[in-house]
Amino acid sequence: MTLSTLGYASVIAALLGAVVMAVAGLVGGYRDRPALRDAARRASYFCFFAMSSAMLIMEIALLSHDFSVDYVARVGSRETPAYYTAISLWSSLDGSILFWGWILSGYAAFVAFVRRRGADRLTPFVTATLGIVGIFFFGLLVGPANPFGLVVPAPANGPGPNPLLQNHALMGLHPPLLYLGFVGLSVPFAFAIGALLSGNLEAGWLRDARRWMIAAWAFLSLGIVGGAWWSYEVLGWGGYWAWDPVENASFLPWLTATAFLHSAMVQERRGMLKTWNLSLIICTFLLTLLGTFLTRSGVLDSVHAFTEGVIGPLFLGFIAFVTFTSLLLIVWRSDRLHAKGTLDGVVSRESAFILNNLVFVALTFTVLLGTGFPLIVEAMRSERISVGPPYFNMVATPLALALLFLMGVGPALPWRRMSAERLRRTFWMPTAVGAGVSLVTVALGVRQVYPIITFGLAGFVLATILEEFRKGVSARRRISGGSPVRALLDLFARNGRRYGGYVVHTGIVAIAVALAISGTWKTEREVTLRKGEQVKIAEYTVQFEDVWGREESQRFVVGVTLKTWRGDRYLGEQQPRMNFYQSSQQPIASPAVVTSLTKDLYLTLMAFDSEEREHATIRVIVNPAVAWLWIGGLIVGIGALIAIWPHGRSTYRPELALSLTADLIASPDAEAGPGTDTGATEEEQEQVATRGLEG
Amino acid sequence: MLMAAVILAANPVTGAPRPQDREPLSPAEVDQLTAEVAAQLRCPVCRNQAVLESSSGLARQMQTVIREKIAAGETPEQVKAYFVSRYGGWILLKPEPRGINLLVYLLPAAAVLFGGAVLFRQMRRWTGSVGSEEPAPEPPDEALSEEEEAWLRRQIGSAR
Repeated sequence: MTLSTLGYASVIAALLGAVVMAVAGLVGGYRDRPALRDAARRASYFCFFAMSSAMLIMEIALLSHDFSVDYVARVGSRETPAYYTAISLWSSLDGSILFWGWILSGYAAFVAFVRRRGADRLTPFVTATLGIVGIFFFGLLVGPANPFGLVVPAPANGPGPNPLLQNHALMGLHPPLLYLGFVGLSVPFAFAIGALLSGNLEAGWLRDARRWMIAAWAFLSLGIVGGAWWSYEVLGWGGYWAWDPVENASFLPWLTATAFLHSAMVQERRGMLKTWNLSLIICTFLLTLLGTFLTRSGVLDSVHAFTEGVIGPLFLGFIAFVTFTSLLLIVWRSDRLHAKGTLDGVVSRESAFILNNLVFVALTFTVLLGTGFPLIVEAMRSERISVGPPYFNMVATPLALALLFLMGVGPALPWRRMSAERLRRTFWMPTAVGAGVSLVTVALGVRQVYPIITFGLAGFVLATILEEFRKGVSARRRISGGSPVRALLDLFARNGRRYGGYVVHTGIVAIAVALAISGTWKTEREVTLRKGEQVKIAEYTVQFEDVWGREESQRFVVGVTLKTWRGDRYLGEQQPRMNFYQSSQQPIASPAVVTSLTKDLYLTLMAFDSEEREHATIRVIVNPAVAWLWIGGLIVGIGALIAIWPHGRSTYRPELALSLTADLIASPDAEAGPGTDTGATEEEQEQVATRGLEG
Repeated sequence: MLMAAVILAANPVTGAPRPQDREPLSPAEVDQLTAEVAAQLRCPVCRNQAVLESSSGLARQMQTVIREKIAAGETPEQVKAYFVSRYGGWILLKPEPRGINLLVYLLPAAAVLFGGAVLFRQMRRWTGSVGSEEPAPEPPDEALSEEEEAWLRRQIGSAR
């Protein structure tokens, strides 16, 4: 048995498992047969087992340089270090799909496992939906994207992975995160389709879907930030986000997923937006497929590349199938999708969420339009145009600022409605803080409009968030006493979704501020230096020492040694390099970055004197505040973790409910909403809300 | 790549006549304008990179050309137009707003307006159906009703 045969057999087994998941799940759910439901669940375990073995076999083949396996022959080489060989699993299309399929099977098994005890009708349909998605991906692996093909005779060596993928250790970090995010979005999708199939469209499925969505969203966020970090540390152009189609492909589902995380709360609280929420989940899933299609089919290089591969049309077919089926299901269940609640007041948290959705969807549309527009023009006019960063920055910035504004407004608004008096009371402080920050910015001599607005809004948002925490902490201390820190932890433990959400918002504010600063005050110069010569840029001094070359196993490296100072402080020797790979004509730059909380010194080697080694051309960039992008990303991740951290289901506590009800009675216009700032868990709030409204 | 280099080489910087009424630019201004233009032009041999950011030979040459033209007194628009005449509209990272390209600018705005209008109607419908049980908290503030407006106009008219 060769690895090739074993691997292929595993993939076929996974495909069969997915078929069982789909059929047994659908029939078992529809006819309510426990035996079939169990079969669907076990099939998902089996699928995961089969895909894990396929993954393992591929890793063994890669690491043992078994070039008789097609994929290894295409991306492996004996010279590539083991680490890069292991991660070259995602350096090419079919390996990525194998990895994708493995994660999908993992999610499916995990969902089936955590829901194994309940006899609800939803789970088998969720498993069935994931099975159908699995059939598509495993089918690709069995057919056109088979990585396990047998190569006879096996070549003695291969070309190695794409140079960009073996240039920096960070390549092992963000792709898995992105895949966990991308594939994770199939789970809420499966819940949506499962809810439609089962016909039970009450809020239960939504709560579960939202939880899974937060998990996938967190991975996706970390993946996007990680990708930006990789781009910054590896590509050597001094930026972190280029509005490249690949980046946009990861950003689009993130946008709709974020929109859903907010609008889902409106449905949970008010029974509204049922069809809208289903559509957002389905669109998010479709955008992951579309993103994969756009970036993997070669269609973006030219419309005409599309017909050359089989993968492109297959993806398009699956996208059409998912769209059509989902629409059909929504129409079929439309009688159960009527809104129960209504909007009580225009100034309310639900309005803020709805506006947030408008902006998120507009932003999604714009990014999608910009990404696809060159294709549209080429198809219609056979004329080529480019849509790049200047366009996206121009269009996306105002929308992003609108979102930042809503981020400050939403949390401070109560559900249902708010009186003008209370509106004033709530917002004068944050507004004053925001206006103050803007004024100080202007006073400091800043004349650029966007930074002034961004800083002001950041102050506004942070002020509302701090105020929310202050209210929450003092309410908890009123109920249970204890130190502020203890009360804060209690707040996170008892209502992680809300307060974790605020932590996420804080991270987003950090990112917004970092974007505004680094986008506005980047200084860069390109200089040619002789040995011993210095250049000063901002408060940094760079002195050129030497050019050197070094043979490494898979590449040839040319670097320069630079001495660097910030003011009088010596920052050590930096070595920006150019890496020459056999498989690439252009060298891959490898910048040297000296990071600090305020500014980064970013050095790229642009050209060097190969004869005399006397001089070199270096681009020196001073990039302010970039570190806060990564810190912000980390804060977002922590916040999301708090939001999904499982907390024990709270028991009903009458004394708390009593005090909440008393609050409610004390404010008969209900403008505060039940339990707005008492720090009660959601279950408690809901129990009380129900009673309060009935009473 | 070779083709592009040849095109560039065949069109040496001619040094467009500098408008008489303008002051020569300071080196810092030249740097800034060069960077501005270079950020708007696509590096023809790279994948989705601006001239400013690319380390490829052609992009470096293009940046030199941009710098020379700016230093010779050409406006950023003239420099961009020069590159468009060499490479076509494809070289601009922000498409020229004319013809079919207008769509990429107008559609997002149209989407926001359309979405906003739909939402506004929907919000009115949602808030409108509350009335029966609970009184609306506050009257809608901005718009006058048609009758009110007509009345107001009459009053203003009769006062004249």
